Amino acid sequence: MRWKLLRTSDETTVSLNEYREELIGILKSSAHPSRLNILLSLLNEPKVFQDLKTEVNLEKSTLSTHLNRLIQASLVEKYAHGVYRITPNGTELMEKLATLLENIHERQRTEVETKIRRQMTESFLNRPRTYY
Amino acid sequence: MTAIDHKPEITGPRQFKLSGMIYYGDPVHSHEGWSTENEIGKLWKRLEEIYVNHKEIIEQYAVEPSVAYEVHIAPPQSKHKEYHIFVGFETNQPIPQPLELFYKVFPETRYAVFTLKGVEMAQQLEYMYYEWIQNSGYQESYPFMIQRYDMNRYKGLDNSDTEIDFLLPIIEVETAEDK
Repeated sequence: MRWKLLRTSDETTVSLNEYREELIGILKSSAHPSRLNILLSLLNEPKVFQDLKTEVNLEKSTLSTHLNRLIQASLVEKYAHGVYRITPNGTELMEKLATLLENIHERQRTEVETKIRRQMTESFLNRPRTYY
Repeated sequence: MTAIDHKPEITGPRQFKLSGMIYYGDPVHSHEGWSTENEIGKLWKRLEEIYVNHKEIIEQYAVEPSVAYEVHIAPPQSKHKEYHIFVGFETNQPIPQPLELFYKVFPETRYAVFTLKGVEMAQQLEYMYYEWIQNSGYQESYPFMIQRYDMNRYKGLDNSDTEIDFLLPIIEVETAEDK
């Protein structure tokens, strides 16, 4: 199920409320260090189980458990014998998270700039004037 | 207020000739402080658009294309928040095009050049006006201040490695003996 992620719109609130349980499922599936590592690893390319196991440094059974959880959430799929790849849903989730992070950093940067610029403007306008 | 850890470079008399755009008013009236949404931000955005669209001709005329200037010009007796802000490039002659760029010659004067760094910049600027100039033997020659942004040294105000040069127009204070 897809919904529009429009900022602070009523439509988004309604949609998110409507699909609350599904949303919690997606967030829980991805909000685990090992599962996030798997998603990030598969973003680049599909991987065979053994390569994935080496890359994310997990035991065989642990990796299987996490992969099953991601498959259930439709974030990862097994598309050939022993080969796993991220789904379009998984890719979109990672892209949305990257955008969110970029926006957070941009807002933090703007906040700092705003404060410094305001102080600089005030220093210039309120400076002691001695000559002209 | 934060002291500046270096002495300013005092230049000889020089005349800045800039091509750019100007805004008059309260530069932060629509959005507090600086942001891409307020008047200073919009001015820079307009300049950037013109630079991108006319890069070739601007680079022919610009003394240093990687360096841009923001000049704050305060009316002498102004007690309100309205003043002129000019942003542009240093060119030693007017640019015939783009039409939106205006040529401004600033009066010949000496400058005290401070290179201010990182997030302490606002406090350092305060020091420059409230401490340094009061005890320097100089005073402001004209009511404007130039900020020089070298894109190789400017990395955003939240970055501690960022540097902006502040050019303060100065004249030596006349002592009783001088008169």
